[in-house]
Amino acid sequence: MTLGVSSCIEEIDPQTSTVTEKQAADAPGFFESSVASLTSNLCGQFTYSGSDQRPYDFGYPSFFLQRDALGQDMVTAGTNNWFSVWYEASYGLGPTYAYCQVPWTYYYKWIDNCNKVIAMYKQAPEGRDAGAGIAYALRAMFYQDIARMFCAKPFVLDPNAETVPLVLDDSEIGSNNPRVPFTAAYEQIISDLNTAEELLANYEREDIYTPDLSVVYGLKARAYLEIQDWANAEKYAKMAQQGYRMMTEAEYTSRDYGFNTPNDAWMFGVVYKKTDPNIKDNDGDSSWGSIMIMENAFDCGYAANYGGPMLIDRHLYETIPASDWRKKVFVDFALNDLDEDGQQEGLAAYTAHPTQIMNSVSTAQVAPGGMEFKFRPAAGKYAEKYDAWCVSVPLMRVEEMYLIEAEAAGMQDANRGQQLLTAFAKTRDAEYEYGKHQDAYGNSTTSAFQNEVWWQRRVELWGEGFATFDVKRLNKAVIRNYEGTNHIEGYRWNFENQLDNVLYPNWMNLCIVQTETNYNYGCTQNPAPNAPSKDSEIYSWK
Amino acid sequence: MEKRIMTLLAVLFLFVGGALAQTKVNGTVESQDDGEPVIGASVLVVGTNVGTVTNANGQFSLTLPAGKNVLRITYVGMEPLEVTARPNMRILLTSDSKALDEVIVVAFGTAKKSAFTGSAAVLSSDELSKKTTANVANALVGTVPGLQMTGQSGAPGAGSGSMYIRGLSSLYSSVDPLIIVDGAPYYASLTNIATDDIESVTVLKDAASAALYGAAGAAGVILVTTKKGKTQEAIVNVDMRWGSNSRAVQDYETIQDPALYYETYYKMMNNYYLNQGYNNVRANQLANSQTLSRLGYNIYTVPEGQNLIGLNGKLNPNATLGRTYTASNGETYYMTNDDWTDAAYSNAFRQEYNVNISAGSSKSSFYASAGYLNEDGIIEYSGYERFTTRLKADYQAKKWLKVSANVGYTHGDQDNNPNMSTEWGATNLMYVTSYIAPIYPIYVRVIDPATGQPVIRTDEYGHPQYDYGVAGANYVGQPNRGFMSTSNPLGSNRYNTQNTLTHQLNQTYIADVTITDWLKFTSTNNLNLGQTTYTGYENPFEGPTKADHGGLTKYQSNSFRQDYIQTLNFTKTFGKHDVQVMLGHEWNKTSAKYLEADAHNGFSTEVKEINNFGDRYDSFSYTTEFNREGWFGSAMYNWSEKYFGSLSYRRDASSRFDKDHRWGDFWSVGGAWIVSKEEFMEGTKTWLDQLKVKASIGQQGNDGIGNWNYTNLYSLQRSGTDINPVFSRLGNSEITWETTTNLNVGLEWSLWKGRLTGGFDFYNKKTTDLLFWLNIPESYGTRGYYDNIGDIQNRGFELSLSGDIIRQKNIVWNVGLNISHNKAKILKLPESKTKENGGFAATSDFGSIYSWYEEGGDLNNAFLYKYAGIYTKDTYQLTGDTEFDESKAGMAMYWADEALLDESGNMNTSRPGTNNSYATTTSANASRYAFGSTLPKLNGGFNTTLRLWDFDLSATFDFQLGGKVMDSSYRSLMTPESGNTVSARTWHKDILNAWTAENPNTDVPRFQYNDDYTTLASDRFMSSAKYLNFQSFSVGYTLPKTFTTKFSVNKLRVYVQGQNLCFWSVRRGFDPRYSFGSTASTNVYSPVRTISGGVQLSF
Repeated sequence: MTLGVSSCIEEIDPQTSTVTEKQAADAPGFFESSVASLTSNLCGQFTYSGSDQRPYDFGYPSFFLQRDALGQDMVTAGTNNWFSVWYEASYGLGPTYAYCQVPWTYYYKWIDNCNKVIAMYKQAPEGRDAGAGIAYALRAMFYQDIARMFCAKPFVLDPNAETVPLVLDDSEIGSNNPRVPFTAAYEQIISDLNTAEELLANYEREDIYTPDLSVVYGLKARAYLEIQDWANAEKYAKMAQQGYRMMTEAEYTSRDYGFNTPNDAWMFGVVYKKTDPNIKDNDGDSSWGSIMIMENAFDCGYAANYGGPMLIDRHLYETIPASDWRKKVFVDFALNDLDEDGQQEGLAAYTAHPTQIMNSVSTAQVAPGGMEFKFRPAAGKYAEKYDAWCVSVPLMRVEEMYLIEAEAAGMQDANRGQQLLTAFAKTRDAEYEYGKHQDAYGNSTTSAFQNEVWWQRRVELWGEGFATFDVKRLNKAVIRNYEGTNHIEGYRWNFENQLDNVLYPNWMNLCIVQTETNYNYGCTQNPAPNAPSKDSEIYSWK
Repeated sequence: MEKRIMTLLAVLFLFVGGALAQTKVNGTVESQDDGEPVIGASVLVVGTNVGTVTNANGQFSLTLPAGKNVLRITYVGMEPLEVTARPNMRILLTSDSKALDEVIVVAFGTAKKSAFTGSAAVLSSDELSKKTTANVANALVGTVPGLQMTGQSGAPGAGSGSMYIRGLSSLYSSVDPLIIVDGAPYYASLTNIATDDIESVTVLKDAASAALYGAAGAAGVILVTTKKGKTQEAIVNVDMRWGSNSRAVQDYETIQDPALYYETYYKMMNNYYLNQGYNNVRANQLANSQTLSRLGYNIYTVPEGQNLIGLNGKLNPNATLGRTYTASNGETYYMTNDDWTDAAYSNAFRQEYNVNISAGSSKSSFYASAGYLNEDGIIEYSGYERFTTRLKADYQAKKWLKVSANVGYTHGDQDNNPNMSTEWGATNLMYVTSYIAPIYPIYVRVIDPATGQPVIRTDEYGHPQYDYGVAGANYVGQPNRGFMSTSNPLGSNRYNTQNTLTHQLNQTYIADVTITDWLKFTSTNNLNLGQTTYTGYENPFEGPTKADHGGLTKYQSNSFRQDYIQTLNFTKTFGKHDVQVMLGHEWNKTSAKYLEADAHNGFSTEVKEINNFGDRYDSFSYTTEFNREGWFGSAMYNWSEKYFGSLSYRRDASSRFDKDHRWGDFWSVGGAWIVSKEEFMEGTKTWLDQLKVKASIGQQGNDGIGNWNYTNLYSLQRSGTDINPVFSRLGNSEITWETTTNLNVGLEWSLWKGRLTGGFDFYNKKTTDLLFWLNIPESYGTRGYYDNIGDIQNRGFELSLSGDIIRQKNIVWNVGLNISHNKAKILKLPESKTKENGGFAATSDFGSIYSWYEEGGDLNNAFLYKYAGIYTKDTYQLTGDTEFDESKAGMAMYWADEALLDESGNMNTSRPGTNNSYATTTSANASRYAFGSTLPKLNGGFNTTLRLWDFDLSATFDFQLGGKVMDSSYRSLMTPESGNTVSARTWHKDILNAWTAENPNTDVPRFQYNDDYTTLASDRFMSSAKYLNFQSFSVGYTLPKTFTTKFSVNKLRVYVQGQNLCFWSVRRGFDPRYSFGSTASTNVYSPVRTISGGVQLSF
């Protein structure tokens, strides 16, 4: 009865879709497939829960909506809207709840994937420049996102405000890894981007679903904008624009390809595939398409059939001049005053399927005004289940680069900025006049020029995940209650006077999940959301 | 009579009939206790070697040699008796409880009960036959002290719930007991074994009895032994029973009247608008419109321009139930409500037939059986059909070689209802029927233009159309159904099917080689082949798969399990020393292969095969394997059957651990002393049959954490045609067994010739080197890994008593009681889990309650908010408000401990509060508190059997005392809606007693829309877990033998049985048997009530 007789016991390795580290390392092309997973894992996979029961578990684009719903630009309307948790600043965003864990799980998993590729590269760099470059670029993108989501104060108020803990190498697991200040986070981000820039210098990508040098420039432009390094922001925004062309009206408002198919303006994107669990499982209802695409003839989807459409903030909509063609992707609020037949007729201006939309309207118990038609079924296949939702979603468009360039330029030279902005705006609205969109949202220390750029960003990039970033970056108040508001009763809150000069509501500094703070002793916490119990007084725009 | 038959073979001896035959005598030998014939009793003519044995009817006849007329009748377990011979004698034997020494099945063999130093509970086929269940595990509850079961399902063909023996012996590893059938580990559902084929079930609870199972035995072992042939003469038994299954679960007292529901919903909205400062009229208007738009469906016709609910909060007196409207598609629809519960459940027919034949000779025995069970579910379109056969035979081939084979085959055909998940959601029929507001229809109805009457709408194929609550496809032009739109579990049941076919072939081959009379080698070889074919079909007519033109999921899984055991047994008696030694080796391996294909777009609705589908969109296959090996030995010694000792040792390896850490050593030492056999106890002989003291200690292991936790893992993700690896889990190569050290001390007694028997055990189970799930900061991209750190302790006692209150020839009344108590404590935790907060909070695996873990603390220590009452003029100061805030009047308050505020004023909810510093009405400011163990203090059962002449009656009950369970169902039935997401559930009637200015004396907080914190998970919803369950009864009548023998029938018994008859808990609808912490998961098929009648025949 010694170890000598133990030979009968077998060595058993997994024979399924789980493999041991050794099996993985021995697999042909492990490095390449690990690099591929950095981007293929960005959407479609139920990375948070592994199951199809959480229709916000659809990857990177889910965070667009989580962030946009926190503020004022997006109304999570209807009787069955999964993103209401963010809109309502529910206590579910507190540190003990799953909603709070979602970004943490996702982003750090993505970062970990990058770290692993970088570690492999460091071990054997030969021929692995491009793969490592992609990992550095993405890691910078992820840290930039979460630094802005979790920062306790905006950079403009406190460049040393706490952001998130940095994990750059997981070979040693520590239990005291404090949140780093803004400046340190951005030092790391820019350093990663510098490395990526070198490594990707000669890389030519096959499609826009993988970052290349232009995306690195774009990420640099975003980073310098955030930390108010205007010269660099302008420089890199300009460099990023090379080789791209802004979307035309036809592209922006296309009924078949609107915001679901890459075009010359898309610098970086993700795509939902038919093989993705998000699409395959649960009738595809737990995917981006289900949540964001209004047109649908197969009785599925939260936006189209289950009563959860997303609306644009009425004030934002109404400040868009009629001559601006971007207005065409949102339903005119004037339709709300018409009878059913009138509404149906009016909807024909936005969609080839007004009857179905009328159904969505009655299903959701919302008036049609403000419904978005920016995101369309793939290639117009509105009747084809699964195919309709196999769409691409943009993560970076050249338009953003033009706006960064304009803002950064304007912060150095008001005139130049105004010119660039006007040039940009004229492509959207031939009758554009500078100076008409300067609502200060409670913060009059921001320049009128920056307000004007912000307005352009809100209109141009609605639904693409920038709302919370900009509100925090510019330290703006959120205003949901005004005359004629379409915000939901009970959640019509205006914030103008918060503590410590912070104007936006505290839940825009997302809480850190307890599974971090309990085991990372150095990690501090942001306050749990505590939503007002009453609507605010009606705000009047001055 | 089982015991008497069982020992028959041991006392067989053949007599040569006397040549000097003179007088013939005959007679019957019966038991004084129960009047049953004694089969195989020896009848000897005193002073001669002439004798015989009684036949299967207890009858004998012999010829007396001249001059001899005294007969000596002996039978094991009975007092010997000498009588004078005469014709047609009736001889009554009384039982000799001292002599009666039951043989019980133990690890790798059998043992005399008196010699057994461990703690085990035995359930005989007699007791099993009194219960109606397809799964023998269900018969253990309330009968086996120390065994608890949660979450049983009543679905036809379902497996058992979770069983716990002597508490929760682990935190993160499996606490399922090891199940051994006829010597080999059994991982399939016990439903595959016909209860009628089972001879006995032994539950091993302590180390002395279970340590031989080493690695797998820490959570207890359940040994199932199938019947074998044993009579000389063939006996055929037939058992047929027919019965009815009905729904045993009770519903909560919810609002079921549609008018009251609308009024209540209105009130919730109206309270909100009044509180927002609107005047009565405006609030009434807003509340009316919100009520209808949120609920979606209005099933009342209200005169044009009037509101559904008046200013008085009552339904408009002019409103009439049922509403007609014409939609844009030109059809006229009719909306009214349906009773979902009524439509979902009905009584179902159950039939079961078992026939077995057993026979034996001096060289062989034979047992064959066949059984058929057909059970319809109480939910339509569900059912279970099972066919079982078994052949068990042994043969003494050579003097030194005995071979035996035991082959059981089971074929199961199970129709499951779709939508039977236990989650709270659209896929749980029970959830939907119990929670849906009483205003929603099951079907889409239209007005038949011909008659003007409402009819259920049919589709082009004539199918009645179910309402999935999605406007576009169902009630055109209406809002979505507020409650769970897109689902209709009744419709899914109707048109979707889920079928599971199983084949299981279980074969055991044994060879016993007698090397010398004291040395025996046994080779036990078990092969188990299991095959499952699953077909899940979704219809093309309605619901979400309509757009897919139907869907099919088909999978097949094949499992092959091998278990080989070799043992060498040494048995020798030297004078009064009796020694038994066993050495053994066991190797087993399980390998399962799985293959699945998924497809959409079917052609025919009749062909449920992949070939009938065009879009074959997904496929899967994988293999899982598991291997375990052990070396073991045991020794038993007794001196004069008075002092007993036992030792056991096992060395086990598991493929779940890294090469260098996979072997573990497990052992036990036990002793027993039959005090009553001592000389100094001579004086007690008249009343004390037996008194035994026993003690044992030992160590067992647990490897129940799943495979490959010792190494880092990647998961492969499919992306288009690529497959990419993503890091998924951190491994730890150091992990090894967790070890349970199990101490047992007990007493067993038998008084007044077995009139009162009982046993008492005290145990202490300490589990060390817990396979602990250690968290790491999630910023490392993964959440944790396993390590062997931490200790817990389960300590408790078990008492069982059984007494014959009346013991007469024709009347025997027995009452039995067993109770057990267990307390689980945490002794040691990993430092990383306690450093920050002194402990940690996590959702307990045992009952899904959020629990607080700290050293010295209880297990399942509820970690919840603490309810502080209602905010009123009398209590508002508790919140620190300097003046009464009208807008908060009636709100629920929760305690906060100011010591837990951090420097920026945030409440730390990662550790429990100790002080009630002040109260608050929001969760962000409230503290969590640790409320102590939720586990029950006492568990047990009592049973009674009564025999009155030819009638027999038995009843069993089980109960639980102490302990608390979060009544999550009640909690959600008391929760107002909030936000723009509508739930449209019904409410508990207690909500009608909510706080209002007019109803201030209540313990129910105000009922108002958007009050997020009215029903936080607090101690307010911790309800006492005590219950009493009338588990089973059986009444039988055995026809007089004088009558039945005319038809060559030896025994004919007719009976009526019932299972899961009545249930009492602190709140109607609340069933604390689901789990130890919270009722959060609601089983669709909670235990089903079965009443059946049957006939048992032996000939």
